[in-house]
Amino acid sequence: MSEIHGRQARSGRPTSAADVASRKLSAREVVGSIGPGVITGGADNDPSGITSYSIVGATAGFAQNWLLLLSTPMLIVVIEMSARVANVTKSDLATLLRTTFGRAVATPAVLLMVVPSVITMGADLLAMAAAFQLLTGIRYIYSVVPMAALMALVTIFLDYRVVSRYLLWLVGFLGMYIVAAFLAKPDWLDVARSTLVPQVSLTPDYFLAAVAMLGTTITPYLFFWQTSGEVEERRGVQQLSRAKVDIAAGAVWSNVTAFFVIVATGAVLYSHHAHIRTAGDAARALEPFAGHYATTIFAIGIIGAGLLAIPVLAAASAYGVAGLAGWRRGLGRNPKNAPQFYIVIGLSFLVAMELAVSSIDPVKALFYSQVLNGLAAPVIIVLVLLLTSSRKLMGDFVNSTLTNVIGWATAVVMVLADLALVFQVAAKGLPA
Amino acid sequence: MNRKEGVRTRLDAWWDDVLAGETDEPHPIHGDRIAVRLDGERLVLSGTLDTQEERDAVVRQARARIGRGFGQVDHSKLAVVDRHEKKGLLEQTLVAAYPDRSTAELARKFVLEHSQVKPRQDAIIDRAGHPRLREMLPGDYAGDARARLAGGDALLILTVDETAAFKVRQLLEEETRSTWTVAVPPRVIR
Repeated sequence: MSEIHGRQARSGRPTSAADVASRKLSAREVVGSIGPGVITGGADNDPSGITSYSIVGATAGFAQNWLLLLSTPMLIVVIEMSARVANVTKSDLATLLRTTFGRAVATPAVLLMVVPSVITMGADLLAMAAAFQLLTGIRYIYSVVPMAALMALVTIFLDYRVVSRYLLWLVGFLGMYIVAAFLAKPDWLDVARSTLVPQVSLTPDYFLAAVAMLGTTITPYLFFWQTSGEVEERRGVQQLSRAKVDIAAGAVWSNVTAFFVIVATGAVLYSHHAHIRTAGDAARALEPFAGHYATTIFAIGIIGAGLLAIPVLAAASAYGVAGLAGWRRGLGRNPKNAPQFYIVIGLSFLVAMELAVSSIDPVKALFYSQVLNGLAAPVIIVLVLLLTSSRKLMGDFVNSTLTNVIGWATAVVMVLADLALVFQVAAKGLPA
Repeated sequence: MNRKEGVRTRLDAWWDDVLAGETDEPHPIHGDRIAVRLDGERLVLSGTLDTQEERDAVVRQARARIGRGFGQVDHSKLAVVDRHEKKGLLEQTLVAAYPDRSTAELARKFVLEHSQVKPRQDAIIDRAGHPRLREMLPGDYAGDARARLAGGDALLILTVDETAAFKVRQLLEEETRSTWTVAVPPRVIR
């Protein structure tokens, strides 16, 4: 049976709302806590993310692993803040920004999420089509439209939150990177040193990769998706302990996968000075594990990651716009009863499809979409910190000192990485 | 017409629509959380509801209409969500603004009918000096509320069990289109 801590345990009745939320969970409850947090974590490793991590591994080896270690508590804290503010206020992020700061702040904040999200959708679509080309030989440009149409139909006409629970299993294919990393026999001492000791190289390449890595891990859409997910799940503050477990599991899984993608690509590609210019190049990191099947496994993993992430990106954009406008919203709603919400989803797919079929380099598109996310994320983080630090808004559920320290450190690290990138690019130009 | 009769009338009208083929219409209480379709002689209910009582009520309503175009009710796909939160521990106050008192009164009627929630306290306030304003809202929120009242708005204030607050806020914001909605943080029921 669950135990309620603090003064409640002595008096038999909670004396503050926080007492009700701070329950110790049984092992069974921990397992049963899986919900939107794990889907958020799974969606965080989208095709753009996998490609960015692969490029980071191929171009910088293990040198940026420390950023991944650093970003894990940051990712947990920013998603947890999003979940908490939604469960306390019973509202999604766009609505909260509108009602707390006014439209003058909320509108640019939503745009800072929607623009990179739709560009990432386009880049993810390209990656899925390139992966499909690896599997079937059909030129990628021909599969973009059918894939986008199929995903749009699933998102609009089926309950995506139910569908996504099945798609999570496809992303399990990315777990192959864990085996591949061990079979590639990297220098584990070097891996450990790179992970625990920060190394900084003053080059545009390094800072571009750092911003992309932080941008693909702590992405603006996460905040909007997580708050809206909590509103749809209706867990409430009594379930905050469960939400924390769910979020931590999703974030750790997301970053463990990312770590092994970098180790595998670093061991296989960086050591041979190989560059990633096509999806086939990225798949080579799996060769120690899968041999000739590396391409097939990589392609299935990328398609699975895209199927999970692209609808999440489209829905996050729609939640943002609908929350800003005060429209009916929710993936559990029938399209007839929330037409504007679903029109925004449809439009997101259309724009992403247009971006994907235009003649842009797929690998560069994937990487630079994450750089854009890295530039936009600090603004959203600061706004979420202001909301969750407000005692008026949060009452007993206001940020703890540790949460504030990690939250503000996240914003500062991302702003510093952005500034360093801008400075380096201004001084030395954009890398080829 | 009292509240119970109002709900019954809406439910009857919804069932009439469904049996006439308008199966896309949202349920008057559960919205899009449940779906109904006719499959030959079977009426198929699907979706997820918050409580067993809600599920039993929907199945009972469907069974009461056997003979009106269908012979049996399939409720195997109508689930009850696995809820862990307990009622009666926390309460939460929600405030919504409307252009005038009559709109606020209509909104109150709509929210109470559609949420099936019994508020612990509720009030409609259209003047800043109203004594219940200070009684129902903490200082910071009372200040915001006075600013709204000074602008000519009428306020609907509802204190409900925390477990019902998501539903109530959604109805206030998305269905009655309040011009401003806030939720005071949850507090322990004394």
